[in-house]
Amino acid sequence: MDWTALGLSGRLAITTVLILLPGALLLARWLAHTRFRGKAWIEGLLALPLVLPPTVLGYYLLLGMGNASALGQAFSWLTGTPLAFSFSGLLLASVLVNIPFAVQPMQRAFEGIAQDVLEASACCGMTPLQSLLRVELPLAWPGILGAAVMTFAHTLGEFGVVLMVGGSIPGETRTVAIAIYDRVQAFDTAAAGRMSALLLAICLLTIVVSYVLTAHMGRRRG
Amino acid sequence: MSLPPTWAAAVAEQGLQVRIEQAGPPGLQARFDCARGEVLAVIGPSGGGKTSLLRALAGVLTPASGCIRFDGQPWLDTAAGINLKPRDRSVGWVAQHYGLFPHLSAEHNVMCAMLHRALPERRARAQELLARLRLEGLAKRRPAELSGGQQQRVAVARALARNPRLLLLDEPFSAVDRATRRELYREIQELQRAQETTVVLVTHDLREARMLGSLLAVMDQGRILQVGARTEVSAHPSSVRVAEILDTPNLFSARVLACDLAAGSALLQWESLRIEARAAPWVRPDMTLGWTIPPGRLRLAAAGSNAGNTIDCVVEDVRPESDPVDVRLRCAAASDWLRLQTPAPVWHQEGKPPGASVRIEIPQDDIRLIADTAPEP
Repeated sequence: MDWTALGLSGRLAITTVLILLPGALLLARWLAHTRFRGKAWIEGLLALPLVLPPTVLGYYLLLGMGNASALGQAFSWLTGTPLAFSFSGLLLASVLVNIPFAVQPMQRAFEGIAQDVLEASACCGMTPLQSLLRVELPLAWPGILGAAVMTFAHTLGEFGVVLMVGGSIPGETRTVAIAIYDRVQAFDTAAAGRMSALLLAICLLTIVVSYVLTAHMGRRRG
Repeated sequence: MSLPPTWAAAVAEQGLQVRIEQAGPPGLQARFDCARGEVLAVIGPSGGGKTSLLRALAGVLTPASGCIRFDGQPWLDTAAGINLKPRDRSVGWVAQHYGLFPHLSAEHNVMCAMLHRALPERRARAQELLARLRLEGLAKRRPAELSGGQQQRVAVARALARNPRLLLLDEPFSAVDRATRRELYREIQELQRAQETTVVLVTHDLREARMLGSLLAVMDQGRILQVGARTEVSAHPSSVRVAEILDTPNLFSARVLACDLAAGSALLQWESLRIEARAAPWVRPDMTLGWTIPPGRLRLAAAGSNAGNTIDCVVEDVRPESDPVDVRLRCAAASDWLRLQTPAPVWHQEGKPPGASVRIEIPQDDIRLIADTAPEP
């Protein structure tokens, strides 16, 4: 069992959720409540990671983070280390790849709040912030929880993009998914089996807990 | 509605003044004034724009052009770029589907409308309102645990919580039982008297509109066709469509064969019958118009009588137990039905059983002529 890889995967997943969720929440709310020309293009762009092969996505991310890119050069100038093949680069890639997993469940949740409930909150004298905190967030909570769980679980299991952008540097970019691949390549099927089973259990547990919490909230709301 | 200049000035200072227009969707055209403390009942068919009107007043829908003023303060003035947010309009709104916050208890739903007050004050006021609306003991329940009527009462309590100057009610009594409805009627009337709250009430129920509204507005296809004092609008619909919406009995279509404005008389062709009526100043030969006569003004004529407008009918249906007796008649020479109301003693003496022929007199002085189309507001 590669505990370092497991720890790195956990750190990457939690950090991705923490960084991605607040921005994705505001983006999802904006998309849910706003109609404008070209909205389908923006939604399509955000959903691209769902349909693009991870290698294609990883290739473009690698180009964008490499030393030849403006971003890569700026990062290197600021930190003295390259962005590609680093944990920071991996984190950036993970945040971008997970945008649809975070935005879509929350957008659907905000869209599901009845129009008359939103209008009632405005007529009750609530400011937009009060309406968000007291009405919208509690009602969209299952969607927010779903977004967090999907992002977390997807990050744990991400393989193609991680391999393209991060490679397999122990303690830096080798996640548990990469470690499993390495073990299989080395014919160490026992270790690969143990890590696969653990990853499966963690993902299953995470999703079941989110379902239970969502059902519990649904019962409380009636 | 044209108002006397002094009243119009008073409305501008103390009340609601609405002049809004929008091509749509949703199409909206409304011009009316409502003095402070008045109840304006808006009536019209489904999809007629009633809810859009309330949304515009509340500030959740911004019409393309126009202005809304309350007590002289502009809430909306598209020309001047003024559009107050709903929270700045002092509005209480009971939406058609209540709009209750499903995750909060009844008490917290009401408290949410008073976030500007201290917590103990909020709680006390919420409990007082819930008690007034006979919701004691249900304060901790969420909307899903309440009946439709109870949810409506919570919505009314929430709308009242901010002591609004303008109360907007979108069919608020449609799902409540008769006792609760009476209670809510009393509550609205009390509020109107005590706080001089102006109320705009949207309803499908004509009886409710006539009982609660001091003013009546008739709306169709996003446009207010007529607005005015309840009795005035009921007695003098401005168009056939208004009369239809107000369910005016004995409403028929006719063509003007001839009219003598100097003598004040008109001859109408009503299907194969000719009817004489008093001519209104706007009546012209060959125009199509509506005519109506109140059921209580029709008279039973002696058999063979040819005085004035007399027509032959067949009795279709009688409700002899009511007083006045309500009789449904089929015209022998026209495909329309007539409704006659006559005092019970008269009917019992002169009336006929269903299937029998009767001769009916339509007094020309009681015929009201109604323009086919509504005049521009």
